Amino acid sequence: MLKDRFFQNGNFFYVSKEKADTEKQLFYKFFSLEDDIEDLEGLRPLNYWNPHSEQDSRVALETNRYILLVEKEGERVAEKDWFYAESGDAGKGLAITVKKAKKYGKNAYMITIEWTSEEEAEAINSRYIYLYHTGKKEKLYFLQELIAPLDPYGKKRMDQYIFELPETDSLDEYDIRVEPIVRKQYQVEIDK
Amino acid sequence: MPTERISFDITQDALLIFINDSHSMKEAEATDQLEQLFHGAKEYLYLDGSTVESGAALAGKIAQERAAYRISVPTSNRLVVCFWMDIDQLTDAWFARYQKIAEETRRLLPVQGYGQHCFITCLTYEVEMPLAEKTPIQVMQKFAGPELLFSHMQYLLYKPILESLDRQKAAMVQLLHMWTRKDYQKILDPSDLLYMKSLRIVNSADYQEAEAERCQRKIEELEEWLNQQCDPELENLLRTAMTEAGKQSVKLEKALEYFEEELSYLYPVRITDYRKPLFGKAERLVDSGTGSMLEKRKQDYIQEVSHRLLDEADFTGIRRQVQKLHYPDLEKLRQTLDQGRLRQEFLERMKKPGKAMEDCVEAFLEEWYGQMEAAVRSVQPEEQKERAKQQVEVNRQKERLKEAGKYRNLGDCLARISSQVPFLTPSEVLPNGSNRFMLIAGACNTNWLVSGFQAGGVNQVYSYPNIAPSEVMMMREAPLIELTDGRAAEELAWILQ
Repeated sequence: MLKDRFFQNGNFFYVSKEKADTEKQLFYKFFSLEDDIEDLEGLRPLNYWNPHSEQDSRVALETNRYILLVEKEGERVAEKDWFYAESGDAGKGLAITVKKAKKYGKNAYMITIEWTSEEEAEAINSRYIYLYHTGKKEKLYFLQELIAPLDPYGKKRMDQYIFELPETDSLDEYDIRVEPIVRKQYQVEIDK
Repeated sequence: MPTERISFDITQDALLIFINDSHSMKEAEATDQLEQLFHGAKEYLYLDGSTVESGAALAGKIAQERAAYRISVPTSNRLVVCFWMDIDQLTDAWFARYQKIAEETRRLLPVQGYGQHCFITCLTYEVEMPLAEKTPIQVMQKFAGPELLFSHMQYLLYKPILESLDRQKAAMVQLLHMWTRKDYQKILDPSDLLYMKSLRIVNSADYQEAEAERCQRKIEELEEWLNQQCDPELENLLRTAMTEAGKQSVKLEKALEYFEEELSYLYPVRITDYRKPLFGKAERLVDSGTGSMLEKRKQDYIQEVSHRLLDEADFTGIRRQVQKLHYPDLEKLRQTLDQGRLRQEFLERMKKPGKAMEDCVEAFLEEWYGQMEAAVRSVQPEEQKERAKQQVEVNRQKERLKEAGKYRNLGDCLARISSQVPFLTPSEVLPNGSNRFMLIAGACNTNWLVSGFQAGGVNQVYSYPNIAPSEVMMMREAPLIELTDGRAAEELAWILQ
């Protein structure tokens, strides 16, 4: 598992080999919450950890601390994982509320996502926050590339979405799901 | 009308003296053949050619064996003397000895009544050992000369390259047996000059009911094995694959419909994509941004569903079918794969008429096809070789059995056997007319009588109790060359070289 072979040492990270004679190749890239984790463009090759040539086999961490690691066997992706170089607790706040919005339809609801901290509100890729049907196990993504404040300089920095439930469905069957990747930076509160 | 059967009295009427002059025929081989027909050794005397120099020596031997009760000489005192030899041993010296033995024996053992001693030479001629000189031809012509005053016959047993002599030998021994029986005159007229003055050839075929049944059963078993082991139709594989893939792609199409009709409304849309009038319900605008995102979500959704379907799909059936393919089919399948024709055919057949296949379904089918291809490629070369070997072995076995059990049953045998006993003739010389007769006994005889089968092309059918009850023996013999003919030497030279 890549997880067991990823090491962070001060401001650097490195990855050790699974076994000595592996034929896999290692790649990495830094990414932010704006980026889609499934997008593998812009990967850079990385040597496995070698104590005799530290320079070549470790990477300095950037301010952006999300790292995507990919191991390939030829063209095929053998293993893929992301890491977050820890620097304390998730400090920023994100509040999500779901309320009935009759104006938009008989069974319509509005999802409001609000950035509650003082810091600049960072856009989040819509892959990481979604509506989830617990019965049918369906992920219902927001139809935007990025979830970002409608008015970044307004009093309240928030984004709003509408969805309409079929008449037979109740809101109880739906959840708002937030991927762990977001929770690394945000304390998330969901009010449904 | 069933063919008429002639009864044949097989009481011993003559003693067979088998003189082996041949260096290619082993004693064990000769006595084996003789013992099978002449039940017990009492009805024949096997002698090595080197121990018989004169008629007196032969008479001495007979007296000696008779005194020791090892042989029984019938009251007729008749002898059938067979000289078995290779054609290159036919020399003037041999002919002189032959003549001497024949003359002396006639005097020493006078025959009573109409019976006469009968002298036979069986000449084996093998193409692998061509004649080095003309002597045998000249000697052979002497058989037609006026100096021979006893009954004599000469047979040529011919062995072309790779062909077996066995059937001719069996026929020859059977003839020897018939000539030593009481009813021998039914097939042989000792005064017939055509017999004496010609070189004859012979062949036989036999049908063993039990053996034919066994072979037939075995062939059926093998065929069943082949059918079970192999699925000879590639079409079947493709059909199974398509049925399975079809079921899955119907599910996929349903998922697509579900997405279009219900799910797409559930995807949360940003409020900026709504037109909000002062009064009344807000209206969802389908702008290009939302539309393309929805399309992307649709692709994701379908991909997810198709992954699930692929996980669910059971490829073991396909794999099993591929494993069962016998070698030629597997080879053919691989070729079709390599040429890319299978992919094309698979995708084309899955397309429903009048309905364009959605891209995502096509992608799913591609994936499906890939799995099928992987199943075919997963057959290891060693396994392939093993399968090819097995296949060859089974086919060979089947051929052997087919050869052994040439006739499926008695009716089939009677209908075909006479036309299937060819003469093996050297060069292109064909015998002048032929004598075909059939020996039949016991159960086969009864079976034949009851069923009323017709036997074609047979001159005589003898009820011959000496052969096995489930056996039919077909014999054919004919004069190859009339030795008295002016062209005989020329013809002999032609066929023997």
